[in-house]
Amino acid sequence: MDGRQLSRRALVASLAALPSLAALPAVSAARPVVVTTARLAAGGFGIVGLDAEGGVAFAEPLPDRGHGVVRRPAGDDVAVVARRPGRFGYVVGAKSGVVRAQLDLPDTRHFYGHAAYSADGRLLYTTENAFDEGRGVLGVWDAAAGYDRLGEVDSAGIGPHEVRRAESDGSLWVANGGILTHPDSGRIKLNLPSMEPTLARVSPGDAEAERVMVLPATLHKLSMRHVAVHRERVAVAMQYEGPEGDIVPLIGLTDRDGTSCRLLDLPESLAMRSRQYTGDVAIDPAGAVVGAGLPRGGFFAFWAAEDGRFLGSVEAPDGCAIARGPAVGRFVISTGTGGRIGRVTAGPQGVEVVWTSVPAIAAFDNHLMA
Amino acid sequence: MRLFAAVFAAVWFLPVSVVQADASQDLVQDLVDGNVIPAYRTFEAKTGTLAQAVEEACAADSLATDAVTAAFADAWLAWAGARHVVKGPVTYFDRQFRIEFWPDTRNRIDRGLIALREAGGTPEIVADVVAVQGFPALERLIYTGEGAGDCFIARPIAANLHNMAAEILTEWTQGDSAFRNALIAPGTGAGVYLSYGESLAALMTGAVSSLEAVLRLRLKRPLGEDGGKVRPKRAEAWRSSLSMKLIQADLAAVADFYRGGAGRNEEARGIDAALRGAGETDLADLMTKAFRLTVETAATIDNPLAEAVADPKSAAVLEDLVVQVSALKALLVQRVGPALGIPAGFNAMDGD
Repeated sequence: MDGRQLSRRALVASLAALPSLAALPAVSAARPVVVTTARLAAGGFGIVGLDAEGGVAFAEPLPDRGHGVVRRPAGDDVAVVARRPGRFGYVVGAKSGVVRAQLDLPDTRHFYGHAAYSADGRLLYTTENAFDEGRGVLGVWDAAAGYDRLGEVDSAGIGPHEVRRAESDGSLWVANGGILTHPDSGRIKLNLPSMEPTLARVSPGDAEAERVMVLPATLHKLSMRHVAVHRERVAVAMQYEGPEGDIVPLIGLTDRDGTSCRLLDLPESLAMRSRQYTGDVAIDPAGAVVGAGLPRGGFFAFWAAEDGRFLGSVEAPDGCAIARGPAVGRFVISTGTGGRIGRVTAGPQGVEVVWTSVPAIAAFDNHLMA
Repeated sequence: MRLFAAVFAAVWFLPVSVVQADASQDLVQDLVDGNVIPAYRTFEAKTGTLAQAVEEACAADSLATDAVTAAFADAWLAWAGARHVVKGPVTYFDRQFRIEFWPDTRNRIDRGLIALREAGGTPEIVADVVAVQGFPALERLIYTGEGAGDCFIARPIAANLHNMAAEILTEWTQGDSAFRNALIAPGTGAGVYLSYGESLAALMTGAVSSLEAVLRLRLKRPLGEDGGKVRPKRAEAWRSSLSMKLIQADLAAVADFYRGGAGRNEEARGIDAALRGAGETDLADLMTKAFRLTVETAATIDNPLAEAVADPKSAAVLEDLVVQVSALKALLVQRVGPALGIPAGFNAMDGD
């Protein structure tokens, strides 16, 4: 057996802290339509697949809290990485959840929480902290050969958080949050007065990232954390590190030609509730609606991509994860508190949601894949 | 240590109360008027004394006089008495970093001071750089600097510390837009909080993050992880030997915050009173004991932290302190917060 190709049994045996298998929820036979990380009602953390009725199709334990999940374009691998500053990364089967490979991270790096595949599915990129050098990198893994580590690409900024591939041209978009942390001091932020978030892009075949957007100095405390891409358009979701009373834009949306950026506003009452914090962002399949999760405010918000007008919101205590749904104006969302999955329809006529409870799940994590 | 572990273990067996205490106006007012504002008043007064001492020393062509070192220690300790407040005026204009830029992982302070000396800097230049405006920069000038030759940097730093302290106090207390009003009358005017729950959460966040900073930055970084190499110069304020006193002041400040400023023999106020009022007597007793033990453990280290981490006997006490501060933090987040109706969000935590 290749050391990286751990069987499920070997993996479980190697992770003493995991809950026993008997404690995992009963699984249904249906095909998973949502894959996400979560805290399980039975205890412990895992990556779970949910069927269309909210039944648990699979639940695979993880050694600690996971974060982003991403599907490989060719085949049905799903990569999942640890919440920062964690160090585990696995590749599981999208239908079964069975672990197929483990990402063997160098000692001098930790994961920041997100990953993306190249358009042909041959390479996996993970956002990482080169903490002793105080810079961000994308680790590059060979998805076609057991997920060996091939090397890395400088992310052109400190604190790369989310990386997403543009379907149109295969380039990778990276949100560099700009915040310096070091495992010695946990999640404590070390450079807030001088932070400089950037949006960067790695063109297909390139070995380096180029900075595409740097915020003006007055907004340098808006940490760019999450990205969503539809054709040439990129949505960026931000978190403000300045005083609470400041009203700042939290979502940026580039125009179709990618040269300018529109900042999307919230109605004042929601802006106040937001605590200046977004946790996830998505664009619907038509590129018509932008949606974002605001877990501190406890709601999701939606805007028209065309002119940036606010379309409406969905109340969701500790709601964060949002992914594009199956059709125009459709999204899938989840909540931390209460463990619910919501199906949203958003458009000029307003915003509607249908919720499904998933009792086996104590809390859904910040991101999901639908 | 063993005693404390037993106390900590007991928390898991306490019944979780069904009735939650209200995050009432009384509670928020106790915390603000009993702890926060007095802490800022002290900070304003002590930085005033410091600015005056530096002026007088420099006027006599000196810097590190006894009056200056005494006033410097008092002022920094007064800051430690207030840095468990992480919302409001202290966040305006990067004040918290200008008052104390630490840890300085990229050596910005030394580089900034070198640049200032080379440029024969003016107060305007000092005002431009965040790293060289606060206590750690002034500490270098007083303890390892060039004496009166550094007065041209030390005077504006000291004066500016007093300015910032005065501005923070004013913005907390004066006028309709006083930050005090935003907390004790949430949902009105231009305040940023919509309910007492939000006000309380904002205040509690500071207490928790202060304990987190004591744990992560002030204790664990110099101690070295898991028996790793001890790094005395990672201690805060090692040049002035104030590191341990600052930690003691941090812990005392959080304990005072918990009691809403009530002295040990006074009737319970603040969170202590709120828990007791809600029937959470066991939890309140446990918290009181946990604070007392942690403060006592910290008080047993009377040598400077940089020496203590290298001394096996003191290092063992510091390891106990790490456990106790972790336990205090866990109690505040997992037991006190929920008992006061503050939800612990799974996804609402920062930065993911």
